[in-house]
Amino acid sequence: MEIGLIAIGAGLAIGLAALATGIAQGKIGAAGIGALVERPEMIGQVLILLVIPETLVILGFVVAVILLFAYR
Amino acid sequence: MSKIRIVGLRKHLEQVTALLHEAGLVHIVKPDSASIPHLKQLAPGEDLAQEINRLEQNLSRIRSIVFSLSLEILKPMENQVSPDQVTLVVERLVPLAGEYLARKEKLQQEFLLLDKYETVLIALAPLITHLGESPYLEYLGLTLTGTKESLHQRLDEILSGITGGKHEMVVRPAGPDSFVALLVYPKNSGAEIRKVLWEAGLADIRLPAAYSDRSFVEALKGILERKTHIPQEIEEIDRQIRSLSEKYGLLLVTVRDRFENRLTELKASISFYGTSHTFLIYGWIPRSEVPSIRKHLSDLLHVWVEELPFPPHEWDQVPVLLKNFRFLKVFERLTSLLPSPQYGGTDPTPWFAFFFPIFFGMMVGDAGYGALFLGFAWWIRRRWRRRPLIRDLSTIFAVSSGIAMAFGFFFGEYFGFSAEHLSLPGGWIHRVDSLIVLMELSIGVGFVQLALGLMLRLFSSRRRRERKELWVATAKLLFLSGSALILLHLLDTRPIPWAFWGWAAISLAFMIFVLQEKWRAPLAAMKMLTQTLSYVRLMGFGAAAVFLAYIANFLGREMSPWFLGLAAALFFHGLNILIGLYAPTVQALRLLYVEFCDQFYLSGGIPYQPFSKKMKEVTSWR
Repeated sequence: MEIGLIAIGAGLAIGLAALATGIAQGKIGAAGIGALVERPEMIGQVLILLVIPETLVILGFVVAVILLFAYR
Repeated sequence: MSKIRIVGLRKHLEQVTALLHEAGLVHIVKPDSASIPHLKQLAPGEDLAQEINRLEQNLSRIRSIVFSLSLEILKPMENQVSPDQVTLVVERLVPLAGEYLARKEKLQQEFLLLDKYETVLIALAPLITHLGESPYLEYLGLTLTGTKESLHQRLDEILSGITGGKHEMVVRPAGPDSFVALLVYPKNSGAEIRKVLWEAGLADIRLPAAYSDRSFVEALKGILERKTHIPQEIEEIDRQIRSLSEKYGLLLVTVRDRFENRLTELKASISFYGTSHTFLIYGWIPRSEVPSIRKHLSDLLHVWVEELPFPPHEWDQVPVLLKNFRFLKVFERLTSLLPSPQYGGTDPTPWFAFFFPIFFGMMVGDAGYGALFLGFAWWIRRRWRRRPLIRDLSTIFAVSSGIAMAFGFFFGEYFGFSAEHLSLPGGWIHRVDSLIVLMELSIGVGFVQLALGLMLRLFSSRRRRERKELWVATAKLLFLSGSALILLHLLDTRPIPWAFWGWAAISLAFMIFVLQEKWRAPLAAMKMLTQTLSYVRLMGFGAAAVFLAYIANFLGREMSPWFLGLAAALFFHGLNILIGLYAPTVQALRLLYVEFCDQFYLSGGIPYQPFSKKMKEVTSWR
């Protein structure tokens, strides 16, 4: 039972974080494409802005790993 | 950088302009006219504006032709270009080349349009060549979907009702489930047949507008004939363009070069000030080049180069030139994606050169993949060695792949197999079994890099005499150090009073934050923490790569039959390699641009753009 709950917790931690990241990056990507059409030289800044929300999924991954390895 | 003022006699202005242009060292600026009220702008406004406008228009047309004819790799001639040659280029060659290109484009578009009738032509070509015009008969083409028998029956029913059986039709296949039908009927039934077909939802074939005045069969014949002639016409134009390029390509590129230099000179002259007898040119030049510019102008009498002082409050006007060793220069490609740094700040290029390969290597962390990437980088470099951008990026990629191989040895991973499994050296830390250790290592790397960034900020704040930034950077450094000590205390079992000193540092940092940042103090502290935790991605992406490689090998071993297992293994390894090319690069850049540069990088600087002629060797990336 305990193992199962931990696994669910780990899955939720990373899954929900990934969902939030995906939503955020989708919106940023769409806006970024619009900016790049007018100013292609902004590709560097757009790429950076695009990956900023990935911190969310990384933190979710960290929580998942801690849950799994702490149990181990 | 040194701020200079070049003063001389008005009669020498043209010579000085040519010499400065040749030297290519001075970033010319317009002086603050309030500080020189007795001086006036030397270049007459309206004439200059008109000449610049005319040059820009001609230059734009020449550039467009040079681009279209792929002449950019040609090296311009060094000898003088005569006015007749310039006239030849501007008034004859450019319009002629433009005409060729426009005609070619028109023919290509016509061919594409006629190509849409390909299926109709293929279906009906054997017939229409034997058909001729008749004053009593009319032809109509239809495109239909369905089975041949049902279409034949349907059309027969429609036409019989109108023509009383006096019609013919041929139905030919034009693709899966689609047919082309050619109908022949008396001309006087034409209007009614068209109306009925339209009501039945059967679309007749619309021909191009150029053929609208011809009958259907004649139009198809015309299209067929035209389609055979167009490629020949295009080839003839290509031959003419090739001949033009071979004969006049070098002249076009040289005239373009001369126009660009002349335009640069005219635009620079906007910044020349003086009186009726003297001129003054203000500019910036690297300090080490001041003797060089003096030497360039030494042959002229009554021309002086003065160095002017500039206080720190003028530093935002100073242009910035990045100067790095040859090996580090390739990493300026990474710096170029950032806005230009401010004068007095820190050039991040050496730090990018150090950290980027390490981050890339940590995330890839497989000797096999690293070797593949190295081979790929070497191939790209050989293939595109004439293109500076690709050459530099492939060098960065090669260095990073080498570091990835080194980390692969350290982790003992060779295409997902462990070192023990393959009896190969390495394997001091196993990523699969030591994720927590890797996480600690990643956060440790984060602490080190952020601390380094803050120390760079301390030095630049001291240099620029920015007190507030100095205090804030000190507070952040204290906060970071305190957090590191507390973390060490939590991880370490030894009775060392890390925690006490950690809390002391954090408390002191917080006091400074409150004094300097006021209500933003908690946000500043939180930001430091989240930025440190962001480095966990080094472990995260590395772990994802390991697990994917592990799955690939597992499937390869366990799946049966063996070839399916091999295919699955190759698929997942291929996927891992593709992800390994993209994700570590982007994530490493993100850590450098966001977390690291946020600590010290001052953007908003002016790039150093000296008044110079175009490079002698013209290479460009398209």
